[in-house]
Amino acid sequence: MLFNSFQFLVFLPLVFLIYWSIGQQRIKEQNVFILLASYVFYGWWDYRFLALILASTLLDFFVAQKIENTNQKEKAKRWLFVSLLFNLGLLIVFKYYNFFVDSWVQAWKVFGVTMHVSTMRIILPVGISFYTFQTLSYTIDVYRRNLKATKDFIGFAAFVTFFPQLVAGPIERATHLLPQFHNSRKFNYDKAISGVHLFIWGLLKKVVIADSCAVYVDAIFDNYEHLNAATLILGAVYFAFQIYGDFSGYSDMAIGLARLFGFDLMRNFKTPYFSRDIAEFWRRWHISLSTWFRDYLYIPLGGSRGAKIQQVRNVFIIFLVSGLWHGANWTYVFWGGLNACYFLPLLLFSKNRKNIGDLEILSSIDFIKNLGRIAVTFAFTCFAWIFFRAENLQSAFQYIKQITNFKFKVEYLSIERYSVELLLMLFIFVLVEWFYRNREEPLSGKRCLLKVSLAIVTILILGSYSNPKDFIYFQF
Amino acid sequence: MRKFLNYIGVVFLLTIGIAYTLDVLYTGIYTYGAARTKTTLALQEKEKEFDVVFLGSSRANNHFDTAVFEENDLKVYNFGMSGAQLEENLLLLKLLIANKTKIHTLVLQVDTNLIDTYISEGTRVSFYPFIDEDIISSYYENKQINEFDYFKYVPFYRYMKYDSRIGFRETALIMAKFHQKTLNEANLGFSPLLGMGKNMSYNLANAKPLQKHPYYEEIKQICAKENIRFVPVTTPICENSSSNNFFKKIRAYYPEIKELSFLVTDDKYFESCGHMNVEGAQFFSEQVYEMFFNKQN
Repeated sequence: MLFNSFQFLVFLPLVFLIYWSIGQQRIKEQNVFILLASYVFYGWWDYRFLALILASTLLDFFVAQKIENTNQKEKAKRWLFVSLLFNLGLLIVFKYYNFFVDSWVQAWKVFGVTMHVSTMRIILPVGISFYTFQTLSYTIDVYRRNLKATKDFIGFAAFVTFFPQLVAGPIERATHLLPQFHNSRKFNYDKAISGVHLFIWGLLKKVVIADSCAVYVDAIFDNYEHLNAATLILGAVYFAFQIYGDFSGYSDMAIGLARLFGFDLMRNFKTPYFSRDIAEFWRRWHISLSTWFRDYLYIPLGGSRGAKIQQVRNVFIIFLVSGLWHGANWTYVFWGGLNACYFLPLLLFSKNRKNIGDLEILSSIDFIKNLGRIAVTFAFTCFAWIFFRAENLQSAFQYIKQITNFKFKVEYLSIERYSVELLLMLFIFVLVEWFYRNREEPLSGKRCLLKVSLAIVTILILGSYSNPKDFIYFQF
Repeated sequence: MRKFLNYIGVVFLLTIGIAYTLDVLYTGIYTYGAARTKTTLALQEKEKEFDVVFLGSSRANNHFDTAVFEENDLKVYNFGMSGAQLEENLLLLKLLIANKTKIHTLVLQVDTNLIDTYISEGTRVSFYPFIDEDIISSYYENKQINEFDYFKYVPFYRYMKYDSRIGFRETALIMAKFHQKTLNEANLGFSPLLGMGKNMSYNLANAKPLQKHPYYEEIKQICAKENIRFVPVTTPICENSSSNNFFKKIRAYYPEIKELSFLVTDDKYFESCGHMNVEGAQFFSEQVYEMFFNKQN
């Protein structure tokens, strides 16, 4: 079920009304209802894969109990290994099996050895990368004694399957979200209103920004051989906005929905395209995944401690794994590697924590300087997005080669539109994001009803509905 | 909670109100704005008189050069629309008649559109802004169109669902009177194609027309009832096409259809196998004029 579908329009009010009518003190009943609603939400797409979620939930629930009940480090480690093996095994089978087999065959082909290994037709279960990481965070935190294993199976199952963030995050930590399932949730008017505003803003980013850009991006990336430099550069810029509108839009909707039910989810995006360097970009883009990798992979590897060579190794590992997490394609791995290369100079000159605080403009010179840094960071990001969007590495390199034709004439696309028609809309969007960069969304505050009306008009008029697109991150 | 539900109620009513206002606005723009489609033109122009009206798909739109007929003092308009099928041709004819347009001769292009009761969604959508018009509404009501009730009763839904065809961009172009001249004044509905095609071929060997095509029959009946001279014709196709059998079948099922596919065969007259270029259209139109409209013959 998609957030921007008719079914969800019926599902949400029903679930909302029943949930709150159960009573704020009846936590268990509320959790049972959330669990059922989440299963319906997920099963709407393909009920068969509910078994996977249930298996993952059951296993991690019992593994955590075992880890908690043992005083022997080795035994706890073995149980943690079972959880890691099962969850990562699911990912490998459903997401990466064919990729690894194909890559293996291709690698041997380089040496002239032809292998005939059959691949399988495997359907990728929606959201598998998200819920496996979420449930893994629970067993790891119990192993590290950061969290006590829960004895409430329903609460835990509701935590794993919580429908607002089940299929595309934010990837929540058990330490943050799980206790919320054990405490009573009181309906809070201000929180609920902020949830509604966040949902509307997320919807606008999805249907107006992301889906409009998608029409142009598809037309440009599918015909890049025949297009000139200006159009191809715009294609990369449009994709930057498509993926941002799509994914941050979904995250906003998820966070907004959770608030309607009295839950707080972590913020997943903080205007990443206003970052002044690539390190800041990664602190503002897909925050829940970046911090997951930081806490469960980067720091255990040594993080930014030790010799420089070790630090460089750690950075490459985290970026390459992050790339691979996005999909079973070398384009994602290359994209991760490229971002690691961008990060490297900052690490080597110890400038990776230079832009930690929020962007503050103190003078005109300060503004121009920051604008320059933002533009450069954005340009690097867009360049990397070419690899993320391309079908394969060869297409990505050809796309870049085609840009070097250095022709900058405005072109008419196969979709019967000029490639610059979208720019005005994106310019207004960037202005809105800039002025409200220190807030979650621009609709709350003074004249909120007027701003909500404007957002609704924009969604109705400028939304792209003829060719609806699934959320990009569903495939991850 | 009550306060929150009130707020949601306000946002809901606001959404309905905005959707309704936008629906009225968009429909107004289509009704009173510059005509960018032939559907709009057929709806806007009332009590006109034409000596000849052409109907059909792109093979009418690109083939009947209206200038040829106009030079011979005939008042003509080419209502052929790219992609249109007989279902949409029939509705367009009904609209013209409802608007008291006097038509003396109707030239209907038929060929592959006789194979089945196809519809062209793109052309059908061009009627949706006028869905409240009785003729359009009653015409589509019986056709079990998916979501038809939503299009008719949910404000602004049709403009959202088909935003790439009748949405914001199209209404903005109407407001800007973009391309109006081409449609309305310059070529009287004729869209010339330029250039010559290469390696053209078309395989109609296994195609078979319906014996009694319901929309074709209805167009024929309307013409008889309204006292319109009905001239159904086939139009040319490129040399390398296995089409003889198909046109023979058309002749067998519909003896009244004039077989003109042979009138132009030289590939230099074709932009693609099914579409003649401007030279071909002119050459073909001159012969059509001679055959059906030159009173000296």
